[in-house]
This record gives sequence, structure tokens and C-alpha cells, in this order.
Amino acid sequence: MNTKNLGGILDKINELRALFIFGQRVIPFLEELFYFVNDIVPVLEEINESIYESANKMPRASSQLNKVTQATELATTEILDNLDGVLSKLNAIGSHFQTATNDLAAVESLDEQELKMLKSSLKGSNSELLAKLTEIHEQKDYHIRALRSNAGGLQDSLQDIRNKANDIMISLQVQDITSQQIASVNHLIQSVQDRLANLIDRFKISGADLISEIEKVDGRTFDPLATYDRSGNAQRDADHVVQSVGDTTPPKAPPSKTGSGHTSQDEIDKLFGKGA
Amino acid sequence: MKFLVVDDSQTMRRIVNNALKGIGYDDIVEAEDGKDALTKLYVDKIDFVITDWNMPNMSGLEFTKAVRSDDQFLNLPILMVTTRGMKEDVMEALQARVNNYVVKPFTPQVLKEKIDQILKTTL
Repeated sequence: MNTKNLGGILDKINELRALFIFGQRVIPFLEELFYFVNDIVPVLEEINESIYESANKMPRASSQLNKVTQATELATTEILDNLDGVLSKLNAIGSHFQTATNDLAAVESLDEQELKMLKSSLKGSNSELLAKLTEIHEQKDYHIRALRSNAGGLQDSLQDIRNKANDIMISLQVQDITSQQIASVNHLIQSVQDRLANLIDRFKISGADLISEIEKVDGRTFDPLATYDRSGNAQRDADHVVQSVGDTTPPKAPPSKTGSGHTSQDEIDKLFGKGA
Repeated sequence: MKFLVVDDSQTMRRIVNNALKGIGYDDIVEAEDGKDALTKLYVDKIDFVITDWNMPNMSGLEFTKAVRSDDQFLNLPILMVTTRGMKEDVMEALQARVNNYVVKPFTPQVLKEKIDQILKTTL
């Protein structure tokens, strides 16, 4: 073994020594990494389980929201039925009242005629009886005026109740507006569930194929910005736009392609890309 | 005068229906969406259409465009009644050639006012 070979061996030993020194420094880090991975695996499994559970709970949440819409629609229909009943009874009362008022006017007119005839036949013969009859007639007149005044007040009250019933009917538009808001939230839930299902699929979580689907409700469309605002501001803004366009009459459109002006059911169906 | 009320919400159809009856219009046909409305338009002799915008199968906007593409319905009064109250929405509806626009929630007075305005300009 010559000096050159010995130098080479020493170099290799030095390299080996450097490697050991590096190893000594790296080992604690590797140990830390090992413990970290040991700790993180259960956490990741917990996250996966959580994602899986959440994804499975979403159809239930969505279904419950749909039930809210169905329940409010049913309740609103019942309220509308009752309001129809109330309005119909109010109209009947109003009509009976009108008949009673007309009858009262007829009685009043007949009384007037009766008194006139009595006055004419008793004139100069029985002034005492005539005075008594006049007094009775005046009392009847007073009561008829009171009846008429009360009837007027009652008609006003009936109209007031009618207006309130109509107001309730207008307020019930809230059902349509909230159902659109719920449909919007449901759409959001559906999107989140789709994302979670993708995640589960990517991480191959066991049982991923067991995720229940969100039940689709008759393709309901919605306005995500629907709000219940009775201030009238939105209507004023819309009116402003309509006025700015200037003419609410639609301009004449060019003649249709067929020229006949009549569209068959088949043509309507074609619009939807269906044969029937 | 025969009205066609188009809305996917049963509640809204009832409310529009009642509002119309309250202002003296009793002859009313109902449709659940634009497609149903188009079919009824060709079956019944409709004088006035009140339509919602957001509906399944065919929206109120698509329905209006389909109606206006037919010569015989060029002057058929169409009133859009919808929750969509953005300026762009109103413009889009007017471009599709609705005659006027009502934002929900509405009052019977507003409905009457718009119907009267339309009838004044179209009849």
C-alpha cells in the first residue's frame, strides 16, 4: 500500500465521518418527523370521518329545508282558504246589509206616505191625535236616522276588515319569497356536498360510496336575491327603468319564420328539445 | 277579459288570482311554468298575461320571447311579476318586450295601476 492509496482511504474515512456527523444532526429531526406523522395520522382520519359524516348529514338538512317549504306552502294555502271564506262571508254580510238598508228606506217612505194621508184625513177634525201621530213619526224618524248612522259605521267596519284581509293576503307573498331563499340555500348545500364527495373520492375514504344523495325537488328555480321588502323602493326603481325606456308598448317584432302565426304543440315541444 | 296567470308557486297564483278578482277581473286561467303557459295560450283565448320570471322548464323571460316571436301575439299585454328587482333584470325583461314590470311583494293597487297603464297603451 503506497502513500497515495493511504491518502485516498483517509479521504473516504473523512467523508464517512462527515456523513455520520450529518446523520447525528438529522436523526433528531427524523425522530420529530416520525412522532409528528404518528400524531397527525389519527387527526387526518378524524378529519376524513368528519368530512364523511358532514357529507352524509347534508341530504338530511336539505330534506328538512324542503319540508319547511312544503309545510309553509300548505299552511299558506290553508290561510288563503280561510281568508277566502272570511271575504266571502263579509261580502254576504255586506249584501244583506245593503238589502236591510234598502228595506229601511222603503219603510221610511211608506211611513211618510202614511203620515201624509193621516194628516190629510184628520186635518181640522182631531188635532190632538194628529199632534200625537206627528210626535210618534218624529220619534220613528230619530230611530231610523240612528239605524242608518249605525249601518254606515258597520259598512265602514266591514270595508276595514276586507282591507285587512287583503293586507294579510299580500303579506302571504312572503311564503314564495322565503321558499326561493330556502331553494337558494339548498342549492348551496348541494354544491358543498358535491365538493365534499369529490374530496372523499380523492382521499379514498372507506365507505365513500355510501354517501347519500340530496333529493332533487322538481327542478325549482329561484332568485338568490329575493327579499321581502314592502317599502316599495324596488317597485319605484323598476318604474324608473320602465319610464326611462319611455314606451311600455312592445315594438313590432319582425314576422315569424313560419309566417302562419300559429305554433303547434310539436313546435312548442321542439323548444325543449323533446319529441313529446 | 281573460287573464293567464303564470307562476310555479301555488301561493302566488292564488294571491294574483285573488288580487285580480278584487279589482274586477274574474276570468282567469292558470299555468305552472312557461311551457304550460304556451300550451294554454294556444288553447284559450287569452287577453292578458301576468307571468313570474323564475320557473322550472321554461322561465318567464323565455316564455315572453317565445310569445313575441309569434305575430299573432305581438300586441298581447304581458306583465312580469317577479322578485327580481335589479335594474339589469328590468332592462332584460323590457328587451324581451314585456309591457310592464311589478316587483314582489306587490299590492293590488300596484297591480291594478300596471294593468290599467298597459291596457291604455295597447288597446
